[in-house]
Amino acid sequence: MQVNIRSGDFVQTEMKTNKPFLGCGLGLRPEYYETIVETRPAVDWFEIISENYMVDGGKPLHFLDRVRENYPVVMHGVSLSIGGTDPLDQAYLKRLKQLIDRVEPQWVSDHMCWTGQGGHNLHDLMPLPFNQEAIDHVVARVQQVQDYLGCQILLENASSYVSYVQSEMTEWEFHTEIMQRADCLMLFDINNIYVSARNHGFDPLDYIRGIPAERVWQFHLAGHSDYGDYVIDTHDHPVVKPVWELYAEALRHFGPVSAMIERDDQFPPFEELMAELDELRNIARDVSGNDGPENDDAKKREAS
Amino acid sequence: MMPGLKELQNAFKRNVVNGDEEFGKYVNTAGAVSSDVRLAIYGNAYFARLEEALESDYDILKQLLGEDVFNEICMAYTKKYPSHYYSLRWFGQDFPAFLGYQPDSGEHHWPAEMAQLEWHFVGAFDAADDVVATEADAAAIAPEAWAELKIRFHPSVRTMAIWWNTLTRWRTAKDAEIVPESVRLLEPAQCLLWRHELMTQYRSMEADEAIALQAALAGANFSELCGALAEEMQDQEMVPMKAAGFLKTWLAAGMISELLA
Ligand SMILES: [Fe+2]
Repeated sequence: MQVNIRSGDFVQTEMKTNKPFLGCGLGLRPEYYETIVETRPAVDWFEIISENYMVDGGKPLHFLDRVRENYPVVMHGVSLSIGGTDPLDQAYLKRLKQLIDRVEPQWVSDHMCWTGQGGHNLHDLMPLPFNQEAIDHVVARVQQVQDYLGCQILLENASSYVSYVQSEMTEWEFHTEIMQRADCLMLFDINNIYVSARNHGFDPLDYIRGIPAERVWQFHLAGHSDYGDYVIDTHDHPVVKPVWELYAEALRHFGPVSAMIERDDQFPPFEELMAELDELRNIARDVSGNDGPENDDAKKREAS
Repeated sequence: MMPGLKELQNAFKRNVVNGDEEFGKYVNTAGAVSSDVRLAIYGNAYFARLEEALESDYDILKQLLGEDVFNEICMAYTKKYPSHYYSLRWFGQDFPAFLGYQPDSGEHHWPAEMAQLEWHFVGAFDAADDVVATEADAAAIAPEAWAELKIRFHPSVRTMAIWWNTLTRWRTAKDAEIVPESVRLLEPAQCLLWRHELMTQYRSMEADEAIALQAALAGANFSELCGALAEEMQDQEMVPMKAAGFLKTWLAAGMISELLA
């Protein structure tokens, strides 16, 4: 019998010891399904929104399978509600695990947030107070989730517009303590740090320096809407210059990290996203001399 | 005493959903932007996201009702049916009932029927995948096995009765043609929806086909299907031929997953 070992297999085993570097990726969105499957663009990897594939069949799963045949895929969820005070949704976790079995992703992520209360889902990434009670609460739930899924999870810093009077520490101290105690990892969203820094008046460099490098496995970059006094994380514009600069800073601090661009609205022609991806590569090459995994399939396609 | 995490989340939720002001006192007010403005970002985003989900499910209904009316209905629906699902995929499922759809009596106005039609499209779009049987499968069935033959349909197959000219209006709106005024039909009609090769399909059915299909969907075997059809048809000798014709049509359309002989 031929045993097919796919790179996704290590999710089940030694995830922590060796930070993988996937190179430069994009979020997979239905608007680009056909283009991606037909033209096989030189993208190193794709990220999917897990919930969009928690359906029984049809187009979404069809295209997911086609993309997975040719690219590494990571799974990114929005409904785990790791900071929520309702019990963890077992039906959701079960569906998530089924999708993990189908996709064999490089890793699985969600957000440091809560999404609903009392059975009422707000479908938003609601901020947590940065205090000891919330840390204890989240740590216990991360452990439950990791035990159930059999792998470490990445938690992303969400953008926020309010801060609580109950907070006792900085956001980066909060994340760090949770990651260390729960032994989980971080999806470091550079745009969200820019957005929250503007909204709350902290220095984004303090955030970058406050996070232990070995925990950061993935970057998000995206555009936002700037209202002057405050900034909203809308993912409907190209990445702005200050966010590119923060990305370079983050690479200097963390070393090579798998990075990707999120676009969720005002979808441009695919070539425009590819041009942004080039920018992502250029900066990675300039700063860390490394913009993609060696001997990568995407590279080979590019060369041929 | 300081509220705990659960109380904070409950107060925040009430602020987002209905503007309850209690949570305001737990928000830092330092900086140029007031806590009201900051909280409004969450409140606005909440409704906008839910409306967007309804819009994508009920695209034609929105087009026919107009932005303002649709927006008002969404607001009312969102208050009455808060989301209990982990995915927005299911948020709109009570919309036809909310608009008063009456599947049995047909005593509803056209928007309810349009909503039900569009919800069926949503269901057919991502229903489970399955194999598709062909005419060759039918040809392989032994003549003596036909009476007991059962049909397993593709999971995407759906039917609905329509009392209004909803199908015509849906199609003309979709094709950006002139949409006729809504009128009630003289007789209720039957509509069929399914998915074939990733594309959702729809068409209307004559009464006899609808009777045969509904019997088969309910688990009738081929002779029971013929029995149901016989009650509808004048010429009894034509019944088996007619039933075989429907079967052939359904096979060609990719509606059947398996013939269980
Ligand atoms: Fe993000």
